[in-house]
Amino acid sequence: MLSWFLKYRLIRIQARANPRREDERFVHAALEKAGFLPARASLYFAWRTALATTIVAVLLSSAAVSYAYASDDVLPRTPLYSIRQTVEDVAEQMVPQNLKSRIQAQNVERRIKEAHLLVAKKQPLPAFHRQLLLRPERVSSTRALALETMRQKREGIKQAQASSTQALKK
Amino acid sequence: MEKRHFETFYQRFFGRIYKFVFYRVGGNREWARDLTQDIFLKAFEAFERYDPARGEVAWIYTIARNHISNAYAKVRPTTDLEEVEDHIRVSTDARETSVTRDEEKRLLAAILELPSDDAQLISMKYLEGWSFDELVEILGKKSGALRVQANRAMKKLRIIILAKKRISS
Repeated sequence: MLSWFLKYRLIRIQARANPRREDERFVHAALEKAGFLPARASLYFAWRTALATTIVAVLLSSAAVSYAYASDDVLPRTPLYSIRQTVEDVAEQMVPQNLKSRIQAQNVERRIKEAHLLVAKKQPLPAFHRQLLLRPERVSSTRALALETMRQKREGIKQAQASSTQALKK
Repeated sequence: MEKRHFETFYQRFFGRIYKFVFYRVGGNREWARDLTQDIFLKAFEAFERYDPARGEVAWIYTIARNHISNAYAKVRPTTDLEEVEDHIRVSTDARETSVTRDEEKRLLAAILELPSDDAQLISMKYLEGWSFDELVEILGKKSGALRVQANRAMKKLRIIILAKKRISS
């Protein structure tokens, strides 16, 4: 057996004898209790508090983001509406080029839905929502493209429905 | 030495003292941490009386060795204290399966067959992780002499292991 291999095996045994974290904590706590070592608990507590705060913040923010994105109660001029816009913008930036128009179309659909909800609640419509309802052709070119995609999609569905109805009649 | 330096001292030696104790109590972690705790409590109480000229490694090592000897004397008064000081005990604790793996058990048993000086040096250097500079302080020998001794001890260990393998096969 080579001497370096022997050394390696001995060092591996040494590694198994390393104190575990709980051993280290146990001895440190005893010395700390006796006043021989400064309190480390405060640092440990601060670390744990920071971790817990971060977890809670992440959970709350993810819940808030989900709510802001999905809820019908989140409409223009409500505090969470900006979160919805941010999520939509990020999604639009992140998706591949070939899926961008679909996302834009979805966003326009959401705006139309929002506009209808605002009308139903008798709340004033923001400029974009008003334009979307009254003069969809004046919406910016990106949105217009999205609208066109959406229109084509709807027409495609209508045609498919018509053909399937005809097929049933026959 | 001033007590405010104790924390640095503790952080420097905790791991090695724990390992030193661990091997001498048969790999029993609970006992190892209790004894390690007592050793550092003793060290703190004597910290102001400690003479830096003597070397802190040799100082804490002496405290640890004496404390283990006393602990063994209380538990088993008939134990040969020198044997306890110098030898590594193979774990009999069923929970410490990692330490008692067959191959490692054979290796530890082979170390016990070395002359006591060599066994002590090999275990301190390779199982407990003391550096040669620290071993100079603890064992009171020159660094060059320790390196030569370690080299020879490793060769002897190799021969013992090979001989055992031949017998078993």
